Amino acid sequence: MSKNMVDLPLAQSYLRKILTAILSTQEQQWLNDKHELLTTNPEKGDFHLTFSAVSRFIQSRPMELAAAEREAADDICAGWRPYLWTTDRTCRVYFLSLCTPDAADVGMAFIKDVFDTADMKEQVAIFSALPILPNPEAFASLAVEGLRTNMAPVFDSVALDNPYPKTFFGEAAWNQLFLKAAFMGRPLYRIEGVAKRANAELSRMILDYVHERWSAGRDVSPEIWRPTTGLLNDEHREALEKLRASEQELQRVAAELVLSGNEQPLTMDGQEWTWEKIGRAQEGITAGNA
Amino acid sequence: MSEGKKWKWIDPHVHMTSRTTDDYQAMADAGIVAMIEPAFWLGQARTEVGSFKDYYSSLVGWERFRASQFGIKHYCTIGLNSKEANNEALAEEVIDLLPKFVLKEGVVGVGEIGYDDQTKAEDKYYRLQLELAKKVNLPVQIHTPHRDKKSGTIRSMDVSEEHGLDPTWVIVDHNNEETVKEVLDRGYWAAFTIYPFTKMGNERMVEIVKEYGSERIMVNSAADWGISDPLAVPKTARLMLERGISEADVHAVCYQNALEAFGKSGQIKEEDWSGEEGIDQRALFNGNSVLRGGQKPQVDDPNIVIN
Repeated sequence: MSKNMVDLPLAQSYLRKILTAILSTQEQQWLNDKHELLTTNPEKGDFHLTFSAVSRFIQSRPMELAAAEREAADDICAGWRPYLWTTDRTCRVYFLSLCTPDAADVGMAFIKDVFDTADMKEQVAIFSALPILPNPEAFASLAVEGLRTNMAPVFDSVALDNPYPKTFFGEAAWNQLFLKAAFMGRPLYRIEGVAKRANAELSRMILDYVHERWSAGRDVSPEIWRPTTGLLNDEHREALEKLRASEQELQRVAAELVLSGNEQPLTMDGQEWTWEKIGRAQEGITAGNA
Repeated sequence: MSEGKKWKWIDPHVHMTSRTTDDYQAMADAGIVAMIEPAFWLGQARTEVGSFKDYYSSLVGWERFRASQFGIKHYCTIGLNSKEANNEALAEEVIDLLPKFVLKEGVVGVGEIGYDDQTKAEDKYYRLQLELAKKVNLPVQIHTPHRDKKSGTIRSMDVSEEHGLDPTWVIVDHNNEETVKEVLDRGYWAAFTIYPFTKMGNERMVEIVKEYGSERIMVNSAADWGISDPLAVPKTARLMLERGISEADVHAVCYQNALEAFGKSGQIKEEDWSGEEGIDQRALFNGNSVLRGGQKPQVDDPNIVIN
């Protein structure tokens, strides 16, 4: 693994650029002042105060990035999605990118210290920053800790729309991420690297989980089956046969996709299906029930 | 209570850390849209600074999230309470910790601070925290003592003025019939805690509003780990309406004044709960079927008097 996963200065200038495009003059002035403060001999405590104070000086609103800027983010770090963030979150990620020390141990101590007193949105920003920080592998245990939260937005910031776990999580942590996301009813298509990180152990755990849910008379998201693709045993096949007879279209489609043995789009009843399409459809159903 | 009107309440002093989800549900059902949780004493003394750090973290993190699951906006005040100021070695460490928390989102003041036994140590840390509030431009929420209350209350105000705080930025809490006049005369916000047995009953509260009106007066529950009532604000509101206090006065005392006083922090705004549901709020509700509260004005409990 190279020292940096991404070109850090490039990521910094990108963040600065998209912030400049959306912030008011007053907010930009504040950002400039704090940039100056944090990059020229800051005193102890300056970072914590600035990081917290973001909520007082930057009005939280969606970033609303155009397609070209979304692609630019993906070019800097594949799967990195600042277009889904809010202004305050982006601003905090920017400050973290400026101030996290280079050396792995000092960098980790710095992030840990900020994390220890972080509120919910600050924790979200920290996890969003991990993929672009120097020596990202140093933060794996912190990111795994982030999965243990009961605050859904914090969990999401690690598990969803974040390329960090697929690159830096060991198999056990990855499997926990996937299962906990399923358990919490999160949209699984937004987990980066689901196909790439599929493994036999996870495939077994998924089957156990599905049986447990079915025994309790509870539904399972059709999305959960995706990592079993190409990793099926007889029990899986038996369960998938049941799924093919499901009354729910998305369940039937999921069964066929798994049984096709690959990730290629599948045409059923004149419609082309992918896991992302199933995920989006499922997300719509879940939101409708809430 | 007039039918059809959607009453909304704010409880500007309630220790939700000590309460259950049943309380949250009941508060939401009764129309409480926002609450302020002051940092306080947990019933027994803490012995390590880390306990304070985790407590403050939970006030800006977990507890806020928990409240959001019931559609209630949760704010807090951060401070070292007077009782624990008496452990000076620990107090020094806690004072160093406070700057890391006072500017966090949703922190609407430094509190609850002030006097308990009125010792030298309490005085020292009260003063240090008044200076902190001035420095970061936050309102102050003052806890007034149970014992020797009147002189403790007066001393709290004297010292606050000595440090140059503007009384309109200071909420003096736990008032009673003996303290209210001077607190109001000197320009402070006067908060009343409706808490059975040890603080105010709400029939007395009705009389106070009849006598002093609604300007700069607010009501809270201070519900905590003791025998207390998280519905004290809506119950008191109903009692006031039943006993002839005007709707405008009830709105001021049980909602608007708290919003104005703590609103000086810039961290609590009506749009937080009455505007368009923003992106963050959608995230917080996340698959939870609990709908927003504040729709049902009534308190189902037939006994609304708190003695």
